Amino acid sequence: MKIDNRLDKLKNIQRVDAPAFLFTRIKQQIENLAQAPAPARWRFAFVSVAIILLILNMAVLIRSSRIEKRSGVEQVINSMHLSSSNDLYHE
Amino acid sequence: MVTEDKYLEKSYYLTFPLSSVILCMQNESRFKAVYEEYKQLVYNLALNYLQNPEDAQDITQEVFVKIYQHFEKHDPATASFKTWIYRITINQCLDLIRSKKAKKRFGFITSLFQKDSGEPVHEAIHFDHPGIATEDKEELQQLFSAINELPESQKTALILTRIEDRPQKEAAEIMNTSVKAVESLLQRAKQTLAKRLKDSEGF
Repeated sequence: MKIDNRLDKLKNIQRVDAPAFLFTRIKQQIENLAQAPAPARWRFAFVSVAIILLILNMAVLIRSSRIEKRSGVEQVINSMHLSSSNDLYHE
Repeated sequence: MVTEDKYLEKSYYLTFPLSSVILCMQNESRFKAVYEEYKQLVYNLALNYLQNPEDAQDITQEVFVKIYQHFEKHDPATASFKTWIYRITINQCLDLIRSKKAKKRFGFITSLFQKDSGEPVHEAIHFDHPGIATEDKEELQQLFSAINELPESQKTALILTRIEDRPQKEAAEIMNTSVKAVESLLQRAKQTLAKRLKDSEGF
């Protein structure tokens, strides 16, 4: 078959030596990878977690300050024997 | 106790427990031993896929960086070290070919909208296989241009058996398929090539 004869020509291709400088390039790339910053996915995860923690902290702080405020007012009302009710006429 | 020289023995490298080999790979001299052992295989296989030394150098570089990074992923129970390297190289080459084809398509689309830009729309295919003798160059360039049009699996089967001279059994192992499937791929590749070469000669 003619195609087999043509494909046999592929056997004439000689093996070639890899360039000598390749190993230095590979070594350099490996060293660069070791010094490279964290992958984008990790950086994104870290930033997301930091933002979530910040929001949670702020929420807790705001909530606790509101509670403290309310308890402070109640303390004054109690010490001055005032009524905390808004009703004008007590039944 | 294992002596240092023993690591350098080829057969020992392939049979020694993986964890120890990983430790070995951390060592530059050990990595160099692997590089020296397989550099010709990787570089020549990449040349046969891409037919140009610059791309083959890039692929060789990427393959060895991958070997260094993912050594622990190699499981000797499923494939030999050599088969694993073959697979990494083939995948890297196919990825590069795919990205070049995508660039070419994108270049064609952009050229429709920017007709007067004056810039080349995509890189021309540069055939320069240093392993091909000058007298065979024209004929093999024509043959390779037909091979490059084949589907990936047919091209891989052809390169492994016809150029790399691997037995069909080994080609099947590298391609993670059966010997029958490789035979079938080769048969179809031959039919397609015969038709394409006949057509190109007809014009």
